[in-house]
Amino acid sequence: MTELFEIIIPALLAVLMVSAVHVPLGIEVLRRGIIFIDLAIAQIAGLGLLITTQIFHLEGMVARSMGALLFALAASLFFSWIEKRYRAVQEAVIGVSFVLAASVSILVLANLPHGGDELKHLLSGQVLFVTYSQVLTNFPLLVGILAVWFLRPASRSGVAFYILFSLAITVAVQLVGVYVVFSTLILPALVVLGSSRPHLLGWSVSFVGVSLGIGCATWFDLPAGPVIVVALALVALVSRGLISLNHYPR
Amino acid sequence: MRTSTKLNKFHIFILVIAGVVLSVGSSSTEAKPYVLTCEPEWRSLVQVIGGDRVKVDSATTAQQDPHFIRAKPSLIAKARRADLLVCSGAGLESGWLPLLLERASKQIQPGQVGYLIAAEHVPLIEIPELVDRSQGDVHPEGNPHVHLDPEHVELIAKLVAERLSKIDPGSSEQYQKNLEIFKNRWKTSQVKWLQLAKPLNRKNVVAFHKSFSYLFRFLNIQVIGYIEKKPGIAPSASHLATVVDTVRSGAVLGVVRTPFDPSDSSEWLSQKTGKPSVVLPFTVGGAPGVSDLFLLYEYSIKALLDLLPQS
Repeated sequence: MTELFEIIIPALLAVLMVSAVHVPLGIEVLRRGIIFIDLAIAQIAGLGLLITTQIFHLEGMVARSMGALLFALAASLFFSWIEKRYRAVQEAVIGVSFVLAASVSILVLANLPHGGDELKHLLSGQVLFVTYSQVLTNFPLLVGILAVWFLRPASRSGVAFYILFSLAITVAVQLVGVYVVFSTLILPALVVLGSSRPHLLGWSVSFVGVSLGIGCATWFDLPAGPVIVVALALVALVSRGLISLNHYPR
Repeated sequence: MRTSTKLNKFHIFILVIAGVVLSVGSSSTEAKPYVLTCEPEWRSLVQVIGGDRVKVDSATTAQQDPHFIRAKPSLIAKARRADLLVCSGAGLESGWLPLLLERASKQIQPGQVGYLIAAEHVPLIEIPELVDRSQGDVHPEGNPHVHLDPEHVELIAKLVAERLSKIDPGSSEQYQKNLEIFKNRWKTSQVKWLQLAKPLNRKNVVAFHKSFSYLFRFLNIQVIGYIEKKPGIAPSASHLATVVDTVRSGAVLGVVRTPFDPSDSSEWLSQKTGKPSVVLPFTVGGAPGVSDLFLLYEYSIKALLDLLPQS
């Protein structure tokens, strides 16, 4: 039993850490109605990683993370500019950016297949393979994002929002994969719509959901990522049912 | 002089400590050695050599492409308690084995007795002259599917017996005995297989991927085309057209693939050219009834013989 704990603790820490940051970010993303921005940024970060490793042949942790991060930041600046100029079509542009980045990735890989594993790893993540050192190196960054978010509320609007968001997503996707990223952003935000204490409620839902997910993955011996998504969805549904549906805005 | 006596005392102290540690270590190995293999063919081989003295699991099943797996909690638990790891190597598991090893036991780390990578101990074929990523999913070390060469299997069987004897000296005799029985049966089987496969000698096939290179070398079968454009790269339209031409122009028995290769392109090629297509088991468990390495070779040869035109 203690052995099982040792196996899942780094994974649990990583998912909890990520979901703590995602609750406030998700509420903001849902409020702005740009829910697919995380998929787009994750895919663009993946493309950045591919281009650094496959075209410029830069290897090593730092070069790879920088490549992914640069692309994600560029995308976030672009999305922020679109928001200012063409607010009405922002979600459509985000969707197009996603398929465009995905298609260009496939074309880059068409003749350079070793990167295929890299991209798959970046997008699907293998939560159970997360090590303590990965948790420790990413912890300060995620705490930093939370601190800026709550101590400097100005960061929640304008370009600063997009920069914080792309930083968080690039880190989170490499730790837990894109499906867990999407569900920890959007599901708690859906539950807390209209709530007077959205953050506290969101964190509670998120922590219960992802812990239940990791627990079930261990108990039934299944890949952790998809189980976390299913468990979090169930917890979100039940919580939303418990909260009076009258508050749900139409 | 005084320093040297001091050193001697120190040495004796170290020896005593080492003795205690070793005796504790050996008494704790009274439990059965636990072996984790990356692929089912090595699980089968370890079962033959270890018999009921060892416990063994495989990280992948016969239906999975060993290039890519999803981690389940039990896999990490297995890696943490393994005494011996047996894998094909040559980059086959490079997508996940390094990550798994980061969370695995000390005994199975690279360089330890418990780290046995087949490709490091047998001569590989298809080693690229120029390692260049543009050449596709090449394994710069060479073709990793080494278990389909009977001589390689025998070499690895010997190493498995050696490593198990080191890990569990108490059962060493049993391991050697099992190895001898296996080697004898393996030798006679090879003669039988070559006899059985005579009609296949110098015949041509088209394959999906370079999965069977060692088997085809053993049976003297020529592969005159691959459906994949380059290893690991899906075929393009123009490449498929070339393969169709190859199949039509040459005397080709059929189209060969593994259980985990996509079926659509092989079936398409088969229908387009009228040549049969066949799924070879590739590893133990890859077809119904293929429960050990002997049956794997036998089944594969019989499936290839079925491709011969009926006369």
